[in-house]
Amino acid sequence: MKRRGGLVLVGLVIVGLAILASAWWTREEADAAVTGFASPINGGCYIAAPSQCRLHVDPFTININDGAGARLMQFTLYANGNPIYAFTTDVSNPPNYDYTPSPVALDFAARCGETYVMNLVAQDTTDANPLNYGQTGSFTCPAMVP
Amino acid sequence: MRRLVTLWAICGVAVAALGLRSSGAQPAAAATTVVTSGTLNASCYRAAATVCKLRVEPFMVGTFFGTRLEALQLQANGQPIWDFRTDVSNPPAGAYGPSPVALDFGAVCGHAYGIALFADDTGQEGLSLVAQTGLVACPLGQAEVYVPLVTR
Repeated sequence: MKRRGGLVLVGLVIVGLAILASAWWTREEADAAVTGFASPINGGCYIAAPSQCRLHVDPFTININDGAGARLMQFTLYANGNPIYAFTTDVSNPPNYDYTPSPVALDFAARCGETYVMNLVAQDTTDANPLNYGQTGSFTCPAMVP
Repeated sequence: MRRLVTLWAICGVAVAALGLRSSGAQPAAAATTVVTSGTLNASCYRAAATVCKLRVEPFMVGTFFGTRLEALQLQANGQPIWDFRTDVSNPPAGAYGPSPVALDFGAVCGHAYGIALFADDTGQEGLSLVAQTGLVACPLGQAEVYVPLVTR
């Protein structure tokens, strides 16, 4: 009887561990769902001419909460916290799908030798406030033409 | 006896599940893969009388074994001309081809350049060389000389 009780206890402990593990996985999936609307941005800085550096951002897609009927209202690209690209959608018919803006023609002005972080702040109709949708690591503009 | 078997079965499933989870995390942590690249092709052209530009053809890099691309850097003659970082939260995995820059890279006419591509992924520390070109010779700049015209 005592042995049976011990076995049941061991069993309960194992089941408890299994539940904890399951809860852990579920939590991770929930996190993934929250970041599902993240819009990764990748970019860098290059030297285009002596004392002329430029920020270049690879084409990116703004993932809006279109499943909930959201529409993209606006987004802004920042470099070191300063806006370098402000974009606003049509007031009557804003896009109701994940949106990919066209690349700018001349890239963005930058200071040679300076280190930058770029981030994308956007707002769709389900966001109460503009949110950070994506951010690069920090990179440094070249100092001079080789 | 049946209960004992059931308990052992539950135990086995739990251990297997935990084992699967930890094995899923291992490759990314332990991998020391290096980003690979196909080919790197570059040229130098004269954009104006005394202005030369380096142009690098579109290229692809690839990461393996669950690692993700963190950084790229192009160097000309050992000096950086393009420093690139991916998204901190969702860096790309697998093949990635950065878009070409709009204005190409500054160069000095008459100089020859060796272009090298360095990359960094989550499986390694720091940048490592993944591709390089042979020497690219920039055309000679043509200085425009204005001679005063003397007339009588």
